[in-house]
Amino acid sequence: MILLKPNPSSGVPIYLQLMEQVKHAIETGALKPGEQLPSIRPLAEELVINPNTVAKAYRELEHEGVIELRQGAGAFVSDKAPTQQEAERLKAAQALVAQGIQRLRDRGITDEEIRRLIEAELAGVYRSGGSR
Amino acid sequence: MSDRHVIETAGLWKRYDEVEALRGLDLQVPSGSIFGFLGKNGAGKTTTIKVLLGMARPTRGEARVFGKAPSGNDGVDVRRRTAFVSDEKDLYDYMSVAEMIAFTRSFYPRWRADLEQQYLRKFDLQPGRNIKELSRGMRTKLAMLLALCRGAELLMLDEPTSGLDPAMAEEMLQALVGHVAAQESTVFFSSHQLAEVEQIADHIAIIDRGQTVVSGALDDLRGQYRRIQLVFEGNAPEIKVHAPGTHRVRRQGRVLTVLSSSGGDAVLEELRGYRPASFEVSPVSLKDIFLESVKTED
Amino acid sequence: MLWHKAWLETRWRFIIALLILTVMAASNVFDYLATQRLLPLVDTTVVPPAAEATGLGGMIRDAIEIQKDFRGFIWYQAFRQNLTQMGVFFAILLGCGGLLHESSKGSVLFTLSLPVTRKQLLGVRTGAGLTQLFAISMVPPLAISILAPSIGQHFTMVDALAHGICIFFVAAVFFSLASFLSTLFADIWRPLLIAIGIACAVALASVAVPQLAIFSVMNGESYFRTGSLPWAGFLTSAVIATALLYSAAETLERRDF
Repeated sequence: MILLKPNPSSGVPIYLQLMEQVKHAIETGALKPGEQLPSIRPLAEELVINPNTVAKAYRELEHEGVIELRQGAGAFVSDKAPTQQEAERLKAAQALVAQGIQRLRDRGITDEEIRRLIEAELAGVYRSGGSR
Repeated sequence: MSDRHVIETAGLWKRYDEVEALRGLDLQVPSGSIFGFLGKNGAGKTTTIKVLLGMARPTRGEARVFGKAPSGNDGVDVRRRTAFVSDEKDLYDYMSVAEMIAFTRSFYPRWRADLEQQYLRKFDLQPGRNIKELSRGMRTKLAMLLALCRGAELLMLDEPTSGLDPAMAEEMLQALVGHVAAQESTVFFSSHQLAEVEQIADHIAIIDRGQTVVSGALDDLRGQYRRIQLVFEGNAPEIKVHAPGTHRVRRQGRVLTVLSSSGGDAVLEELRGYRPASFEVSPVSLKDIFLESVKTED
Repeated sequence: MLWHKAWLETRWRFIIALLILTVMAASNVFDYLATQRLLPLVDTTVVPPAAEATGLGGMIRDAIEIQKDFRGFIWYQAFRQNLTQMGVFFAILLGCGGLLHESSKGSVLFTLSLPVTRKQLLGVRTGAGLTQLFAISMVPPLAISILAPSIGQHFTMVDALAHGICIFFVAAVFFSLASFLSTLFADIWRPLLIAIGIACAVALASVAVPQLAIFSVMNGESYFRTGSLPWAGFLTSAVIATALLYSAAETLERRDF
């Protein structure tokens, strides 16, 4: 499974980028339920990022039910229903976003303005600490 | 038995003749972290490292490594558990690679012969070559090997990738990351390369004119800093932001830009109160945090 | 492996010193052959007898008288002149260098990051230096002993050892002086030139102030003339050298790098 090198300067924390990549891989089927993910050390070395960052991404993914961390064995894609539900949920959300954006475009609002509006709304979500 | 903080300084001052290199530096480096130490040239990065290793004596204040002050016999113990690589990576130019390794090995009972072989191969170092003949890149690799094979709990690196091309720099970072993942050690490195700090560090501190201006976990800092841009119909008002953690308020025509590190609602609420025509919040990169924190007085 | 490092840093100076001093001593031995024929021909009766002659005349006649036999010749040429003068120079040369000088070359931070104290670093360098000093003090006199029979003369081992010891004690003083100066100045020139300057000053001053005659301890004058070693001179030298080395250690301890 190929993971892309995260962009450290994008402003999005590296662990979030990793989590997104894993979720995306699951959605597209590159990672199947029950399949094993690369272990922390080799992955950190390959991507040249902090091993703690990989560990954090894996922990958060486990917390969300996307993967399972099995003692001594490694990290595996969760084969419970939540993964399917997660993919479905995101698909539904994507449809809503597409709808909303189309409606704003219909009103003559440009894509740049749309992006800024969304960011401003989300700003209330990114509180200090970043952890949930 | 590791303390929570491998390195700790409190109110550290260092004066060299007329120059005050450190002016009350406070630093805490958590055990097991990869800690990036940032600052402009002459801000005090190398001086800090020298004080921590006992090469220079503090004028005032405290510095502790592994809970000990780095002088006398305690200093010897600190240095036995630490691996240092200097900025220039100078070694003994009258020795060969093999001699340099044998020399260094003799001081560290926990030397890892297996890692020595591994890195000799990986870095493609010829044991018979004289250090005088090595390029800067090869010398850096040798210095890294000498550091990584010591079985040290703490690696202190002064500008580890300076003078290296991007490919070699990535090789060095990879070796560091691989080392930290496999061994239980802390890495404390000073750097100008913000991108590489963002890539591998989990904690940072920014030093300016001998004092710490920013420090903490990198993810936390990135979550806290925000750039807020307000655009007004007419000229932007001259405002004074009362919410804490506001760094800079810049007015240019109809645009007002505020850099805030508190991350909370107070600043956003206060600014919304000015009823701008548009209100934009964006994340701030480490480069922006750095430039903002070490700017000259205006 | 600090000893190995110290050796690598000073080996060329040591080897050159050893060679030059030994060759000088050897050539003094062979010079005797030429002068042996000439000196007895010099008529020293044309100047007033020793009891009344002072000043330059007396000194010249004294010098000639002494050198009429092999032992005297060797003492005058080798010990009084060559080995003392060049011996001091090489002692100073061997004493220069060290940590502070290393700082002008860059690798000092690596050395200081090793798990050793500065006293250890200085101690090893001093130990290595004094060992080298001992060698360059002893080998030339022993060479004289070994080579003398080849020109039909003899110079006892005991004499050689005695003179070697005399050279060593005073050379150690200048070695320590250079060592101490090297903890004050990072370049190689200032400690070298200042120490040489001090040596010259002491040599000149000792004409007026006999108490300063450290070089007469070095050339073993009292042993040559009376057979007794200059114990007071040894003691003074040891005290001065120790004081200088102690100062070097303290200065180094306080230094910021």
